[in-house]
Amino acid sequence: MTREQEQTLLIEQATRWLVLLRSGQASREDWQAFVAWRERDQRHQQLCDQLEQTLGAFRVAKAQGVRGEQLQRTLSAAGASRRRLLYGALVGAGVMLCAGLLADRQVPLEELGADLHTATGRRQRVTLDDGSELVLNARSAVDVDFTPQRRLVRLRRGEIQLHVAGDTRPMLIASPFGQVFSRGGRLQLRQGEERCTASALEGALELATLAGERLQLPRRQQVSFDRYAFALPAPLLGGEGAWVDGLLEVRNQCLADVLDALRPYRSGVLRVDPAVAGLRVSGLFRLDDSDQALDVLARTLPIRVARRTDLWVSVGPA
Amino acid sequence: MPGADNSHGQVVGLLFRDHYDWLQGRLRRHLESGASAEDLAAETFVQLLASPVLAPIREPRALLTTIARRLLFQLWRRRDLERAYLQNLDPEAADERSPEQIAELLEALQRIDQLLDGLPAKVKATFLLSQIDGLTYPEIARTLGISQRSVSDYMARALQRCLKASLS
Repeated sequence: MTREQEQTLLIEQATRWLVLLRSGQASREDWQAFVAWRERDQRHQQLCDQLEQTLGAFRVAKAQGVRGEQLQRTLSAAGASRRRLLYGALVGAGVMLCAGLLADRQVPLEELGADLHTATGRRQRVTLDDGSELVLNARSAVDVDFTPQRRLVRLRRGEIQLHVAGDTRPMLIASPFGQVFSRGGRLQLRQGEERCTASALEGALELATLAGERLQLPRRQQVSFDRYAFALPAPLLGGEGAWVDGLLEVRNQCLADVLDALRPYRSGVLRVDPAVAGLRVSGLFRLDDSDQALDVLARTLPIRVARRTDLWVSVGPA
Repeated sequence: MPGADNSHGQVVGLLFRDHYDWLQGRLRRHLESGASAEDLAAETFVQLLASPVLAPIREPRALLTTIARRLLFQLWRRRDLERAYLQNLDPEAADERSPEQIAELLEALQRIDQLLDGLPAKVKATFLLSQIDGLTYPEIARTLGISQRSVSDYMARALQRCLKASLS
């Protein structure tokens, strides 16, 4: 008999004894037989001792006057919120295991006023001369224009995250659709074809569209806007800033948005069929390996990723 | 092999120097207070140090993220239990328990939760009525509205689980 088989047998025997002894119907002879069984073999004795130790946690609860029914209610309440959590979190966990993270280059900025821009698939981290930290997402471009009176960052293309250092001068981030004004904290601004999205990661923001409409955006909220007006602000989902670490964190967003986020990391065309553009996606993807991200999407969604050439990829129904 | 342990310690030391701040920053985004992000990041390195060296660490940040994620789940799990404790157990005995007793009880809850994790609700209920309240099988059968035969089966499942946990 292997050690494993031996243990299984031992557990079976012990279980039979314990089930009988706890029934409330065990006789004096049953108890005597159990004691004899326990003393017959050192392993039996040992297992019984170890079980007493394991059950110590129940003794603590009992000693504090907790009833079985209360304990059951407590455990099941905790279990319910855990299941909700796991449902959301585990979607990405499998992907996480293979997601290596690449360190960003840290580049000191020597010349202010110079255009900063990143190529396809590259991010860049820059420390501005006031100590603010600027991160450019792939295929992004900004101008930095500081004077003794004000700090101005002009977003020309793509997406930035800015950790605004404390300073007496206000920090203004300008885009073709409007302006964002920050007194400190961390913010993010993404510029699309027709609109901009501002996220207040830490600290509140003040915004103004080009047409002059104004909005106070509380911290942990985001809002998109065009030249004229704001959409309804919404709470941050939590994964908005993950691209800084080379990750795309998606929680129940539509496929088209996910592909939009991958696009700056790919040369060539990435086309999405409107029939699947609205599919909901959750997960964690590695931006620096967008082909892998597409493969994961193809495995988990009813879609087909057709690679005509490396430069022409289209995503359609399976 | 003490030599290998030592070099593992050195590797982890280097990783700590290069990645601790980064990890802490990442964790902070998932947690409310900076202090526990520090604890969690530190605990991640402690676990890495204690884990056997299986292969050279090629992608340290991926590995650290995996360990930290596991710790984060444990932390969330503990918080869920604490919240459930406050809602279900505390109101009735709030004034009577000392902070030490509450800490002791929460720790016991966590161990019980781990021990019984995954067992069906009826099995848990049966076992708790026996183990905590000391009810006999006929009493449990009446309380839960199930047969005595089911009580025996459920007890066997729960006890088997406890015995297995005692052996490992």
